[in-house]
Parts: sequence; C-alpha cells; structure tokens
Amino acid sequence: MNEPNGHEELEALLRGMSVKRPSEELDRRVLHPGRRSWALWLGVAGGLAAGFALALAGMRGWNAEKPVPPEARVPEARPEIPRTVDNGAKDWPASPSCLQRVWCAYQDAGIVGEKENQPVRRVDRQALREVILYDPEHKRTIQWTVPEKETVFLTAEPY
Amino acid sequence: MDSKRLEDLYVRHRQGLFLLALSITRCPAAAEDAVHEAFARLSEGRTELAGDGVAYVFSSVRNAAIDQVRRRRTEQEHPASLYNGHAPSPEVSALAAERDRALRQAVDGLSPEQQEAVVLRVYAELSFEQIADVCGAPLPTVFARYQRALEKLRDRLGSLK
Repeated sequence: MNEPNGHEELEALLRGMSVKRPSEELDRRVLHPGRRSWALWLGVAGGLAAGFALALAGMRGWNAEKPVPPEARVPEARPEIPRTVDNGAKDWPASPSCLQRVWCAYQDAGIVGEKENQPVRRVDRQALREVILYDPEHKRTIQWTVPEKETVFLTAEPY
Repeated sequence: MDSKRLEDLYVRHRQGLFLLALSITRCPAAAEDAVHEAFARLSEGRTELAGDGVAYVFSSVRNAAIDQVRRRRTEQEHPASLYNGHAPSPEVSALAAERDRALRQAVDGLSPEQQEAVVLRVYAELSFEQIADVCGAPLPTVFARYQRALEKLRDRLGSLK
C-alpha cells in the first residue's frame, strides 16, 4: 500500500506548503509539565521585591502619612469566593466564551486573600492540581501547578 | 508509562500530532490543549505502548481532540486553516502563489475523514496500516479515502490550468 500511487507530485507539493506549527509553549507543557512558566516566576519575584521595598520604606520611616484609624478604613471590594469546588462538572468549560476564573485560598489559615485572579482556560477536573491560565493579552496559555496546601475555587464567569 | 519513550515520540511526531488535532478542532489553542491532554493521560497511564507506540499516541491525540470539540459544543466561527497564510515572496511566481492558495483552500475544504487521511499520510508520514489503527477503520477504507482526497485536490489544481 506504500507503493507509488500516481500522486507523488501532488504529495510533494503538499509537503512543500507552509503548515501551522505547534508553539514552544506546548513543548514546555508536554516535556516539562511541572515547571512554571517564566512569566509566573517573574511575577512572583516582582511581588516579593515590591513587598521587600515597601517593608524597608516602612522601617526607615519614609512613609510619612499618618496611619488611617481602623474605623475610617473602607473595606476593599473583594470578589465573592464560591464555597464549593466545582470539580465534578461535565462538559466543562461550558463554552469558549464562558471561560472560568480561579481563586486560591490557604486551607490551613482560612481564607486570607485571593491570589492570581486570572481567566482560566482549562482545569484538570479530577485533581484540580493543574490549571491552565489563559493570558488574553499575549494570546497564550500558562500552565500553573496548584501548590499542595491550596485549594482552587472555580466559578463560571465570562471575561 | 516510560516517560523517556513518550518524550521521544512527542519530539519525533509533534508536528503531525498537532496538525491532526488542528484538523479536528480547527482551533490552534484547542489543538495544543488536546496534544497536552493526551500526553498527560498517557504519562499517568500504566498501559505499555504496543509496538512502536506511534499509532497509539496518534489515536490518543485524536480522541483528546474529539473531546475538545465535544466540550466546546459550539461550532468554530472562523475555523483555522492547517496552513499559514503568508504573502507570497517575490521569488514565487504569481502562478505558483495561486496554485498554493487553491491547494490550501482545497485541503481545508476536504471532508474531515479525507483531511485526516491527508494529514496522517503526508504530514505525519504514517503508513496506511498505522492510519487504519489510528482511525479505527479498515485498511481499504483508509486507502480509498486518501485516494479520493488526492483526486479531489488534483481536480482542483487541474481546473486552474
């Protein structure tokens, strides 16, 4: 069946055409599944650096503003964190236009705040350990492994 | 499953696997998701790959791509082509550029089964026996699909002359 079939010229033409190629991101996802992308590491490093700089400024008294009395503080608007983990949904996500958002909270210290609040492209439904975040600005996906002590909460919300 | 073996299979066949998934999902992001999902499942599985494992891996990616389409439910508004739509370079004659454009459109317009046969044979370079395994179809059926697909493409090109 692999003998000449009379279409060799056409096959050669087809082979010479420029086909779409998979991205390097896919190579990383398949060949190094546990590794976070450089963008996430950069974000974490940036956050740590900013926190360190703020702490340093506070220690040196550079922050000259008077502290705000507790009664004058306006609570920050926080998205409501769903109380259920949607890990049993079939046919998830519902449609490409209804992508999901994800929040993380630390299990052992109660809910201490939202972590990255980014649109999610796909989640491993069985384990909720691996989240594929979609970066709409750069039109690419970022793989993120959920740390052991964190829980992922999902809600259906278009972005 | 032996991860080294899976890695080798991915590195050798990534282009063919991606194009197979793209021909089913018609969306590059979903195609990449399908390839990733298939390899994630394979690496978790305990089944040993039969033979050289090529047909099995292609078959897994095919199933994952079909799952992607089912999950999305809605039809792609602008189905992606298998080909890049580069502007022709100055060295390429107008006739050759027109021929390539017609061929791109003709391949994109094939039935899903015929397109699958072309992708697996021409770009993934699988044997017809392997293609039959991947598609779960009898060998003569797969061969006939491929022949009909190329005849269609040839007719399309012939009409340009």
